[in-house]
Amino acid sequence: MKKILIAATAALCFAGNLSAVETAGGAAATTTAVGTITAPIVVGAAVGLGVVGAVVSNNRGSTTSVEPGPGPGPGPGPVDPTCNGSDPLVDGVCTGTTTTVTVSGTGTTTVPVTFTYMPTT
Amino acid sequence: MNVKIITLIVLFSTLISGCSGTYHAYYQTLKIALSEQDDAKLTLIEVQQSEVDVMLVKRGERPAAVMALAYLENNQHKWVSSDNTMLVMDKGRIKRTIGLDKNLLHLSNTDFDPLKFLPKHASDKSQTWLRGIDLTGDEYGYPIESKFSQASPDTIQALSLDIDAMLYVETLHYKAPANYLRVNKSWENHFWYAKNGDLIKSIQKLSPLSESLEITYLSRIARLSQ
Repeated sequence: MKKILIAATAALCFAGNLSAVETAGGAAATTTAVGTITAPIVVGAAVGLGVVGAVVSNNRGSTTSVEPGPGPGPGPGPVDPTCNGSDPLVDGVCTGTTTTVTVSGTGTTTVPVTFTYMPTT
Repeated sequence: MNVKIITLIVLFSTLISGCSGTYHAYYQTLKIALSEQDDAKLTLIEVQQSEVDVMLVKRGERPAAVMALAYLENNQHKWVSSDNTMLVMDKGRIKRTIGLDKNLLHLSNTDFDPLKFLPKHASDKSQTWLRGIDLTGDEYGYPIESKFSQASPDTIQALSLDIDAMLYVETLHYKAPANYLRVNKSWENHFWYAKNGDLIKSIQKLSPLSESLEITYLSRIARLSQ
């Protein structure tokens, strides 16, 4: 009985000491840590002054509009297309006519042949 | 009724106009710049259930972050943050930093640091402690002299607890000569000890121009409540 009491007392002493012992986590301790101590400090006043400066700068700024320069001016204007002689102009194409004469033993045959060409402008 | 409708129309038009053009960009920029980031927070139960010791660190004006104890080597506590910075501490004194924009590389004469004798041997704290510090940026051997004041009772609030503590103030003097006008040659570090002698909070600066590190030892405070 006495031994049990001594053992129990010793166990309680150890338990008391253990509760006061600091515990180190080794390399994995960083997972327990929260937050950073190297974060840069944002100076609110400086940012505020910067924004005020930006507002003032934008308000004082002016917009310069670039007008297009003068062009080459009015040209000679459109020229009516013309065909040779009395050839008609149909849908932008001139149609001419020529005559082909064929001489054979029985007589002479005359065949009209039409051709097209682009009008002159 | 008509007045209400007109007011609503004017208000709606104003809001709509705020969403257009550069005004919306201005609004968003200011909103981001002026928004306050929240401190990392843990409840008492979360700290008690944590398998690793944790502490809360507020560096300068940044939001507070939780750092975890990674290693206990040669009586030095090595705390790490989620962004892989490390604070190496000896009896609560920051001896080395890793991962900050400007790091403490070395602290000399640490065997005579009065913090090693606090709070049990408070009579030893009255002596002046002179040490040298090395910083990144080729800044070596800067002498700093410090002296602790008498302890004063104080109360620390953390994890929704009010803890009675004794506050020790360390007044530091930067002894390096300078060829130019220098301000902030003196500053103070603060250390709070619980009644059982555990350091539960400190505010320290590594050099006159460095940012302060406010450290609250959450796990130690949680153990006090058990």
